[in-house]
Amino acid sequence: MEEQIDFSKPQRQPIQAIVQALLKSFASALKSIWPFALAYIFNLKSQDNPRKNTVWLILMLGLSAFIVGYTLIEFFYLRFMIRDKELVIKKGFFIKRELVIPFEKIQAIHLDRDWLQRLLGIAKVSIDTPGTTHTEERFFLTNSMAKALRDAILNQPISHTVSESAEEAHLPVINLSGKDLFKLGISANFLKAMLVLLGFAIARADDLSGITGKTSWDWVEWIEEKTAGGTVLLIASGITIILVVSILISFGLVILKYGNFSMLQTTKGFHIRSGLINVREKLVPFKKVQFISWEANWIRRHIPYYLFHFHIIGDHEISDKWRIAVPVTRPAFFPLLFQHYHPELPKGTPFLTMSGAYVGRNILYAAVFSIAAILISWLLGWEQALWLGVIFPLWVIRSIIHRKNFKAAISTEAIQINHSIFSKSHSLLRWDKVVSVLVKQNIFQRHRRLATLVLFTGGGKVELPYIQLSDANRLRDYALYKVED
Amino acid sequence: MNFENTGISLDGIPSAEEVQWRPVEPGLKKVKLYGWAIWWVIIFMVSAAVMFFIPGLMQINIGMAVFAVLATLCWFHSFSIRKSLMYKAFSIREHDILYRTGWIFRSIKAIPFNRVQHCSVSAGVLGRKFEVRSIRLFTSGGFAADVLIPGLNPQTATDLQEWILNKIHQDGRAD
Repeated sequence: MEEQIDFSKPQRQPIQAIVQALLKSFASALKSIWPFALAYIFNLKSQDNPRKNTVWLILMLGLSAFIVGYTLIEFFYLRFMIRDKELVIKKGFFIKRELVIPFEKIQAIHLDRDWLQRLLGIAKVSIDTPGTTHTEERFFLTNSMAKALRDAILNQPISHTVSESAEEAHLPVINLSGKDLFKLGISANFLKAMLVLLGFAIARADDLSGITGKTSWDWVEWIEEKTAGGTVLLIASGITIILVVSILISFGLVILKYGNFSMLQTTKGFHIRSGLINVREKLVPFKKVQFISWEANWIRRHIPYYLFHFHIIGDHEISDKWRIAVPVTRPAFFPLLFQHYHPELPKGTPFLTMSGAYVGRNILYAAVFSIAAILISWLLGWEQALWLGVIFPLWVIRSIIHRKNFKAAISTEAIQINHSIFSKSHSLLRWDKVVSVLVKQNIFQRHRRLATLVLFTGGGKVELPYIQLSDANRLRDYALYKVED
Repeated sequence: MNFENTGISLDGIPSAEEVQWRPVEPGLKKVKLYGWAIWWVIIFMVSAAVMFFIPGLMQINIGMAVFAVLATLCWFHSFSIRKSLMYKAFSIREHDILYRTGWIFRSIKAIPFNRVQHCSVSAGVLGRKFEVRSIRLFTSGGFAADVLIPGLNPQTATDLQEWILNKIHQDGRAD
């Protein structure tokens, strides 16, 4: 007979879960004490200062005891209950916390059991709410208790993510031809690949210095010696080879990422599939799209080819490696991508620009940074440290271009920002997708009645830097009004 | 596709600049300063221990230099705590909550209640002793979009939490 659990009364984690807690705390303790353990072992071998051994041992044991003790206390002080369609979790001894999660905000409840948990007869309960990829809360219960809790919560109406039925029609939206893929590959940002290649070469040179007898800095000096006596043709050949290799690498990476690309549309969202060898798939429910952006690097802007991004809830926590962008190789694709969110704002829309003080501030920062870099390099013995002065004009030019290009077009329903610098980059955000608004000022901005406005959504944030404080405040008030409207 | 782009009048929209700001509880100052004292005692003790056990560091000039640097940082930290507490305040309106903070870098964050996913009230050892609580409102925007308001009276924190949860139940919305 199944035990009836009264979740209206505070419940604790079962005693068998303490094994799990102890194991976790031992693992944390090991992660923390390994430097002390290494120091202890080395000191034992050298035996030059026996008092040090005692100190390291005391530190290791003390830290381990603290971590294990803290974990056990936190384990025993966790309680949970259900109250008025809310899950209430109370935890903590030193810092007491009461977390209340309404049922309608619980997106998913996961029950996981690894080999140890199966042995102990317990399950890990993870509670998810919209917006974050990590779980909001996690604890351990017996199998029957975990299922009873899940049933008690899931019997209430809960927000669901989009699920597609097999009967729904999938309409093709975008497919890439071989020619599109080739152009996309050849227009990739090879400078980035070149820098990555150089970084990789430097790291490997240092790793192999034990065999070759030369560090990366020695190799740079060797190359300088060789090219100093060489001809222009030799130097040009060297640079050409590096460029060609970088282009080939970036081309290959783009083919691997966007090969077999397809985008289908259903009544509820887009289904995007991409990748030649490692295939990634993403479902983009229309309702979950928080804002959209599109960009073209400094090569692609001249074609023009863009990469289009749907920023959905939880996206800000995913690394760039796992994001899928939609290659827009024809202007006709744009309306298809915009139609379920908001059309692009037309050219006559009123807009805000960045204050000229932005450039002034960057001139100051660039000057300070350049002088500091030159001084430090010179003190470290680099005779040609003055070359670092090139940072100043590059930094200032970048800020001038950024300020010149920046425009925030504002309509009743959305805001569209052009934040291009050397590449083209745009974002479009509907006001009703804003979840919080921040107006911030540094000392420089306060003095000039300027501010930076940050609009947060479930899929990331959009910033309007160095606008008038009055405009920032008005936009904040308008965003709050539209969210409620 | 029909697309309109009508102008908007902001005259009727309530401004966040006209709100009544409520400063944090005085107990928060004690919590912060006690915490400051505990941390700096630990830092000074660890520095002394490091200098004692590492050969070559136990010299008058090094000791005085380290002490001078730590003392300056310690004073600046205390000054910073007192200054920042002067600016910490919050305001609760019908549809949203505003939190103002910062001394050198100032900011005002606004979260509409219908965007709050859930909330938590917490209090550390010192917070319980000096009767101050912190409330954190979680949104779908993650940590950067959430707001943590420290220095609330326990009753205010509980009432606010209950009020927010009632709003969530009434709205019944999910993102």
